[in-house]
Amino acid sequence: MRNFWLLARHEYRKLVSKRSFLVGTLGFPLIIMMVMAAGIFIAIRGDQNTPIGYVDNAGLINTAVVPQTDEDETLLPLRPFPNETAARQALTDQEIQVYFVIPADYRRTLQLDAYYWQDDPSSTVVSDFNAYLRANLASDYPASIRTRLVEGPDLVVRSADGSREFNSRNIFSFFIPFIAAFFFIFVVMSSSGYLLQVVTDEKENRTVEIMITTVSPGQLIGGKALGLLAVSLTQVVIWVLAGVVAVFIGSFFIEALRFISVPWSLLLVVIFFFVPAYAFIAGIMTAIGSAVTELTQAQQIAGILNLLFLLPFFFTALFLANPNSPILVFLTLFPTTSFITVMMRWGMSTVPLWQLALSWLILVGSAMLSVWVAARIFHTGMLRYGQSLSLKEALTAVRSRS
Amino acid sequence: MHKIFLVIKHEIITTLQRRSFWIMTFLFPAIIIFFNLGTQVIANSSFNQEDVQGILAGTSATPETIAYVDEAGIINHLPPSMSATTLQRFASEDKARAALEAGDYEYFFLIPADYVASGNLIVITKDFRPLNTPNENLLSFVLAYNLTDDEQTAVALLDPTPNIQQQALAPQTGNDQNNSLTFFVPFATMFIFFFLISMSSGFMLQSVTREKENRTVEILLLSLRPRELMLGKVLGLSVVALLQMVVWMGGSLLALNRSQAAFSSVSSYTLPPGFVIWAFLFFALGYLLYASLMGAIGALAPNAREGGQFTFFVLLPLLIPLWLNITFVEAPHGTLATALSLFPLTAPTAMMTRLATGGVPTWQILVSLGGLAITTYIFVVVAARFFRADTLLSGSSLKARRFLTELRRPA
Repeated sequence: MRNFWLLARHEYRKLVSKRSFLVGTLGFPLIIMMVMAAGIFIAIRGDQNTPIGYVDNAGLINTAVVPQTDEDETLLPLRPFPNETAARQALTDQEIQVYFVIPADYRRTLQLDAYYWQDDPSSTVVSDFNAYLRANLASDYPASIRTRLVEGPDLVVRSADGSREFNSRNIFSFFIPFIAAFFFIFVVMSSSGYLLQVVTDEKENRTVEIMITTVSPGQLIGGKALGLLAVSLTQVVIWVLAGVVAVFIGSFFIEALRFISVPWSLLLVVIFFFVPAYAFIAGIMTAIGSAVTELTQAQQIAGILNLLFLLPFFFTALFLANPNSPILVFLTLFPTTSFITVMMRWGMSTVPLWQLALSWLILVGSAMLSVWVAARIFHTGMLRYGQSLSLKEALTAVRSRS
Repeated sequence: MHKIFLVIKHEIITTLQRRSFWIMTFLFPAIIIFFNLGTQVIANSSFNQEDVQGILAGTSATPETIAYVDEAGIINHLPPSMSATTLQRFASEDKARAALEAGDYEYFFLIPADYVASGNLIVITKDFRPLNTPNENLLSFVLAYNLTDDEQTAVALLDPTPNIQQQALAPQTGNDQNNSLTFFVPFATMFIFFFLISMSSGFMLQSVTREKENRTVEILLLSLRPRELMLGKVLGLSVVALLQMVVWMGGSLLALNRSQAAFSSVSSYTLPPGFVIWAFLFFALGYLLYASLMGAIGALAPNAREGGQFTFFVLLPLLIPLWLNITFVEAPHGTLATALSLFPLTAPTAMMTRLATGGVPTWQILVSLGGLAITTYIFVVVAARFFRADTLLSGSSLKARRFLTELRRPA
């Protein structure tokens, strides 16, 4: 058992002290954040403040009516024109970015014409113009109901047993499981890359021959996998802490961030599912890594397998639309996808207990199987050089008694 | 000269013989398309908000009966055109819950007494799916109708601009702005170019490091100069890359053509004239640029693993347009998109995306292409400096600092 810990500690120290670890941990999120910030900045700046023009043939818009907005929000200015010729002239002179023509029968048909110069009006233009129209449509009604008419209902969704509630304020909390799932995928991707090569280093410099005299193959793989797991977790913890600080600072500026609540029940799911899920993947990757000698070949096989783990992300839209659809129930039970699917459904829905239990049992079963198979294959392949195990050989290795 | 041809031939044959090449060429795009389109279809079919206007006009089917509890006492009557069975009122929350328990309903709406002030509309549901509540629009409409007593205003408040006829006074191309392909085609072009260039230049890295790893390079260098080896590899792999491009672009263009024949709605989408020629030029130069960079890394790295750590940084410029894809959709001719398409390192993906959108001035294409050509030339020359017998034979590890020291040494 002591050897096991020694191995894990050695692997951890070796990787964490590398400069690439530091660069990856700090640099990678920094680059992504910078690019995203630039994108957001440009998206915000991209909308010029050029007014929206309109020609009102329905007598609908009263310039005195100003829509209510949040403090930090300003609508694009609105400019009336007596007729289309004047509006067209203003558009040609680039005084306005678009003009709408409201026909006399607008209230009956809700048809509008929009004229723009070259780039079609952005979503901001349409939503701002909608705000003006709503305010004017509601302006004839008493002040007490006006706000309600303009803003419409604010939906609060409650589960029948009262355990879950969704409203427009806690919307960010629903994306925490998505982010958690994303982190998990990161851990899987980064450590599976290493796990594939877990023995290549030792094989290349023949250390494995010496190590195997003191450590059993199971301990060797287990210790290395644990060390790698610790490395990935270190990285994730640093990022999560950074994220928490970012949210805390952001909450001073963005109101919605203040209502984020940590879904503690999710933590329970993570605790139960993470270890078997990681062991499952570690087993598969080590098995591939020890059966195949050439790294590029191993990476290709692993790449296809990674797709199996990523599968739930392809169905993100489905999670939002119908989190209890049969496809997602299947993904919940399927071992490669179960952990991420459970997390993502946790955010969007309530997962029935029987599905959780069954999925966990299947996952634990597959994890044990994969680790056992990996140890077998490693045992056979560990002292082979320059020759891959064929599928047949791998199968005999698994079947044979040791 | 003969030796270079031998290298070219060898590279082409070994790459084409690999199963992974064919998997990447055919299976990979198929998987991406399948998952993207397939899941989109599934999701779209389950995200169906009811069409209030259609229900009122009698063109859309009335939904199944909706249960509600009205503590605020707002809902007194339904619009005349709406069927009376659309809504089912429950006197209290408890009664509605009982009906929910009995399985008569999947969910019910609860309008709290302070609805007008707070705006809260509560949905109590057995199947908790917060982002996709059925019949939300319909209930909003009924509430607005009862508050205003005017059907037209209530519909208008729900969505004041359900159908806008948009017209450009100075249209850029013949492409219809409302056509979904106008969004999709540039996006697909961007992805295709990114994958093509990153994959084909990745072959270069693999090819160099493999020969370093199994020490074949030691024998190769006996009969061939390092630069000849590099030239042969770049040219040989370029043939493979072109083949891949023909398959992907040809497949996409064919799909576009076919879909135009099948659906009349897509018939209006036309790629700008000369698109294929520009695509070919940008791809060829982009490939040469990144392949020479990858080759340089391969020459310096002791093995594929250490080389692979640097590929992300090398491919970063190609990735940036992908991350900023929103700008290319919202303002394909804005400052940022234009700048990215003129900057040589990002030009291959950025300019092709803009070209697929259409309406790029010819001078911009030429400037971008010229800049790309000059940069590619410089990079090829620089990369050739790294291809030397001592770098190819050394096993020293790859660090950022080594790039500089190797670069400074006389050729």
